[in-house]
Order: sequence, then structure tokens, then C-alpha cells
Amino acid sequence: MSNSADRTDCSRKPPLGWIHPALTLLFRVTLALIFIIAAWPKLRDPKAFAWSISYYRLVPDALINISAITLPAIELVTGLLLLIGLKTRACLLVVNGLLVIFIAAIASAMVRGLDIGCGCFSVGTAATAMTTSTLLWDVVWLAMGIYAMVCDRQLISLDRWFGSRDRRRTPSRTSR
Amino acid sequence: MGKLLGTLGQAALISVLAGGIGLLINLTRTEALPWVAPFPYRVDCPEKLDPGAPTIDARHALPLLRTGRYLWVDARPSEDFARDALPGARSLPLSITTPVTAADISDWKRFDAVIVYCDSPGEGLARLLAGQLRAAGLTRVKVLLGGLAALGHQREPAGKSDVK
Repeated sequence: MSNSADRTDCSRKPPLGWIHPALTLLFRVTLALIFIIAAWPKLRDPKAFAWSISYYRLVPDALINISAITLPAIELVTGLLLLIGLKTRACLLVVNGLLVIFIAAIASAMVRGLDIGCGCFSVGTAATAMTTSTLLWDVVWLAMGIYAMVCDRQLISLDRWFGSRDRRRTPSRTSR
Repeated sequence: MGKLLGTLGQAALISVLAGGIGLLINLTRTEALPWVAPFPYRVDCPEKLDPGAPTIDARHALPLLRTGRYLWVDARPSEDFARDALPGARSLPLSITTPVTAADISDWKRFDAVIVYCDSPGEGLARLLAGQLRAAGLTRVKVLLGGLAALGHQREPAGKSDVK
């Protein structure tokens, strides 16, 4: 049976067939770097990040510290995995999920008129003020993440390398 | 559908493993962040911190200084307290990020009142600390009007006890 049903629209060869793979790679690497860079100050100063989370007044006190401890690690690990292209779709799913949460939190803070730092790339007193552009950038990154997830072609990735290795090992399965 | 569920499962697994790495990294820190904060994350704007705290002026406060029935609390930083403090006063430097808790002041209710002082303009530090003390359950708190300067020559270096 053909696996065409699994394919998305961007699987069809467009006139410029290299566009989707190239864009996907670009978006994937961009998001990876963004998440790695964003994770670093939070990993270095979890206490300040905990305060940044608290300023949103969305997370119960009991969950603030555990969020401040785990969230930067999730950002860093998914960023690194995205960079090398391992479990790309799953990582993009995590990244997109996080971006949806960030967008909701920022939008909610703006609606409530909270004058707080974003806590995105710096924390504590160094945190940059939250503006509309903060929200817009997150939306842009979410769009990039969705595009990369839907149109993933595994260009320059370990997923592709592992996939081709598995196909070589089990030729009978793939030849059907 | 199966593929989507598989991706979801992988995403959940990555999140859990990465979160575990975060917990391990935290354990290796010299100052590990506790999983649950031992204090509520709450920052009140200074103007909301008891602006109308009861006050006492130096003339009425001075006779109370050595009675032992009133607890004098210094809201200034520890270094200032070490340099010059009132006799018998306790140091409780104001911290906005780590407010006073009921446990910090559990034995203070035995005093007739707590008199908080500082040397900042408008008794700023003392008023903020008074707000925290009241929020922690202490009802009889007064702010010394004019701070240390108002006590003038009555000030003298003394033995201190730092409670925080």
C-alpha cells in the first residue's frame, strides 16, 4: 500500500523542490538556537527564573520552583536534539507546545496589565520588559515550528541517518 | 493516528527525561532550589504595604525603650545594625523578596508592642517591615516616627541579637 496518505501537502514536489527542505532546516536550526540561548540564563539562575514565573501570577506557588528547575532543562534538551535532528518531530511538538504556553502566558499578562519582565532570554532584574513584539516573536516562532513539524524532510539530521541505516539493514521491509 | 500517538509519546518521554536532567542539575548546585518554595511567591507594591501603620513619636517612645515590654526592631541592613543599634533591639533587615513569616516572629506576641525603626526618609523601611509583620500575624506594631534620628542622643551602641 502506498504511504501517500501519510504525506502532507508540502510533500508534493513544488516547482522549486528545495524550498520546503531548506526552510524546514532553517526553521529547525533557528528554533534550536533560540531554545538553547533562552535556556542558558535560566539554568544558571533558577531562583531568578522562579521569581520571573511568579510575576505572571498563573502558576500556583507549589509548582513555581519545580517549573523553574525543569523548564530550562526541557528547553535545552529539545534545543540540542533539534539542532542535531534527533526525534525532530517529537521535539518540535514539545517546542510548539511550550510556545503555545508562553504565548498564552504573555497575552494573559498583557491583558491583565502586568508590568513585568518577560523572563524569556534573561531573568531576574536583567529581564527585558514585555512588549507586544515579545508576543509577536513567539507567534512567529510558533508558525516556524508548525511549518517545520508538518514539512519535516529530515535534511541534515540524525533522524535521516538512522532512517537510511535502518532501511539498509532491513531491505525486505522497505522494498514492499 | 498511530504515528501521531507515537510522536506524542516520544514528546512526553523527551519532556520527562529532560525534566529529570533539570532535577539532577539542581541537585548538584551548592544552593539547590527546593522543589517547593518555603515561602509564598508574593511581591506587594511598597505603597500597598501598610502605609497607614500606627506610629509612635520619639517623645513617647523613649520612655518605653528600657521597660522590656516593648520589642524594638531594626529594619535596616545588618551592617547598619552592627554599626549602631539601640540597646536591646533586634535586627530584622527588610527583604522584599523573602517576607517575614509567622515562624520568624512566633515568640514576639508576648511583647506589649513591637516598635519598628530605620533611618530612611519617611520611615520607608520601617513601614514596609511593619506591613510584613502585620501580614505575618502580628497586630501590635508601631513605626517610630523620624526613625533613629528622632531619638537623637539617646542612641548608643549596644549588644545585638540578629534574628534573621
